[in-house]
Amino acid sequence: MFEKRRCHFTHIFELFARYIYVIVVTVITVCLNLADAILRDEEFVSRVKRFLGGEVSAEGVMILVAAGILLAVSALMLLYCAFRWRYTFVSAEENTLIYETGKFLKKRVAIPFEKINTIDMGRNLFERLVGTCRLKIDTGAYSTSQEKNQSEMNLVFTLAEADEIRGYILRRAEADADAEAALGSEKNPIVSKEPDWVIRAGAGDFILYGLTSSSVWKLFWMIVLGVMCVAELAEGLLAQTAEAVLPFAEDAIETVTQHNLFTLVLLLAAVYLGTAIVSDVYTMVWASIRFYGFRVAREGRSVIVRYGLITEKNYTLQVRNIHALIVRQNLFQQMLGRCSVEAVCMGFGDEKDETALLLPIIKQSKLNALLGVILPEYVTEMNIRPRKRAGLLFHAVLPVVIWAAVCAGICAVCAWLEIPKALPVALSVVAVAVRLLSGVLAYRNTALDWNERVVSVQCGGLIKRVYRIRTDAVQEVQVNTDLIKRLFGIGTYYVHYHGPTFNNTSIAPHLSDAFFAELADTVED
Amino acid sequence: MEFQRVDKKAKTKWRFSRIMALIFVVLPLAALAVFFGASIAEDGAGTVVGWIVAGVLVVQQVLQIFLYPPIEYIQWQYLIAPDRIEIKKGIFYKTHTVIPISRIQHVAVTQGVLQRPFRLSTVQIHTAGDVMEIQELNTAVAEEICSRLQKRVNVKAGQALDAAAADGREE
Repeated sequence: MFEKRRCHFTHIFELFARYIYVIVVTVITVCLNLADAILRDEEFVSRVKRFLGGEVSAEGVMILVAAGILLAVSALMLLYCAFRWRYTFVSAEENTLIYETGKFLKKRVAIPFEKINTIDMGRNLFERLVGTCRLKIDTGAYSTSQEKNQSEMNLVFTLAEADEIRGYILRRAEADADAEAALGSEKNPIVSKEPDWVIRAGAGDFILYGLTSSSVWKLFWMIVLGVMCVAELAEGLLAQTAEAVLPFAEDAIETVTQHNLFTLVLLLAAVYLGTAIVSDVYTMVWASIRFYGFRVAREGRSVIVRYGLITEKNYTLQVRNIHALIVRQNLFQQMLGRCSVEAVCMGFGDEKDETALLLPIIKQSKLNALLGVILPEYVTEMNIRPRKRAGLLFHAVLPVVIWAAVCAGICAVCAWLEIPKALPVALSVVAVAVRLLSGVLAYRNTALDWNERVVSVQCGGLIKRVYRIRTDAVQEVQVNTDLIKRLFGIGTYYVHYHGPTFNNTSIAPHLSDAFFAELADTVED
Repeated sequence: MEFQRVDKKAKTKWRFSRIMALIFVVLPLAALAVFFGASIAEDGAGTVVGWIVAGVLVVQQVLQIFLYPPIEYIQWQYLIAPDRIEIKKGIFYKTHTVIPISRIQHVAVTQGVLQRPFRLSTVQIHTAGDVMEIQELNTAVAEEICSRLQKRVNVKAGQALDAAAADGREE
């Protein structure tokens, strides 16, 4: 056990930083709304001017009032954060981690060590400069992880202290009754040693990750966001730019639409390629910074993952709480035989997009060998059961026919509105071709396999996903059919598994419905 | 073991609840469609579209009242085996669900306002991943199923604990 201890004092500023944005926005909004009323109050304005002892413009008075309110509110908030820090403690008793906070409104959370699922040690730039570390502890309880998307404990300690607490929790969680008693007699908490890293990612991996994982859409939305920000900040700038650019754009569209269909499709492909190259470079740089020094280790019943150049991530996952692995592959990764692996772990993460990444990018052929080292529980060879050819009808033929009909409708509307038809036709050809490719790939990729340990669900077209779900984490299996599918003996399989959010489901569409009974039997066992 | 059907009174309950929906939801919506259709376009095309939308809404609800209940009664089936629960449902889109008993977290019986006059209840089966329902069961049957499932869950949990303890001793 260890005595009550308080967080590092920088926790005050980190708490304050969470509120400052809200404070600034609220004060500015309130001041802007009240500006007219305040400025009309001549007595108040003259009093401010007398206080400052000089001539100040009306705007100057308003800015000073806003700054004054901001300072006062910030000072109060800083005091509140200091108060919270003063009365927040962590301690350990018997087999429980205790988290206490508050003086008037007291809160005491007791977490049994064996219920702790994830210990996440993250360090942003500020924390690295001052030598501290954010320690987050998750149990995966519905009321916090799933309902509020929060961690049970989210505090800042010095790096040594955080490491000490992590080591202590891990040892206590793993200890059996005898070892626990022995551990209880120890006076000093155990400091965990540097783990034996079994997987390390290098520069080559990041380049490959950038080349294969970039998202052109993400870049597109970033450009849209950038333009909106510019429009918001500099009123008139966007209109001026549009005025200057529009004649050129109109000329360009006119020139483009005069070309034949083949040239237009080539042109669209070239535009896509250009955007993809910019996006690739951005993703490479981003991946190199984010995943810098990526390493994975298996320590007893835990998997430890560390990475990050500016913000350092260091999380420890309890193997018993990893309920599934998701192997992802986009189109480029499918072509190059690469994939990324993430764990579905109870209680991990208090941020929406946070995933427990195990391997950012690896050769697909080495997947089982690498998993054999860190998570042998999930090593399995996918035994693809024969799929029905009718599946192609639902994966590719029907969707392509629907897409083609929609595109034809759009082209007809464009022709009716007297818009040059070359561009919509070219776009339609590309869209239908992409849908066809996606459908054929989905047909090829969709598969289902199961054994006593793992249920594997493979799905997706352009982005392929393989779910390796621990058989005992599968909660229910379902097969859905409709009138047409029943004619062909085809169904869509839903495998619901126990995950960090409610209703985690993996879907294998348009497979033979004859497998269902066997799959259900395996899950029952 | 054979699949069981829901209570026979379910058909009447479905009809009654759908008639209520027709009176309080569908007919007002249909009237709104006709009204908006007429006000949007003055040349009569809007009125026609409005009447078509209203007609589709009413016909669909009438089908739900008269045609679907007997089919649903045949399609809605459940099986409570020693190790699993199976539920089949749907008219056009059929769903077959299997829930292993060992994955059940808890079981609940609920009774809605419209179920009460017919003495019908719904059994809710909560797992860690989802909630499944066996609807329109006689209240006594629902309560009996609930207690039977609860006992089986306890037995399974006990077996799992014994197995874990045996594993621990072997280690």
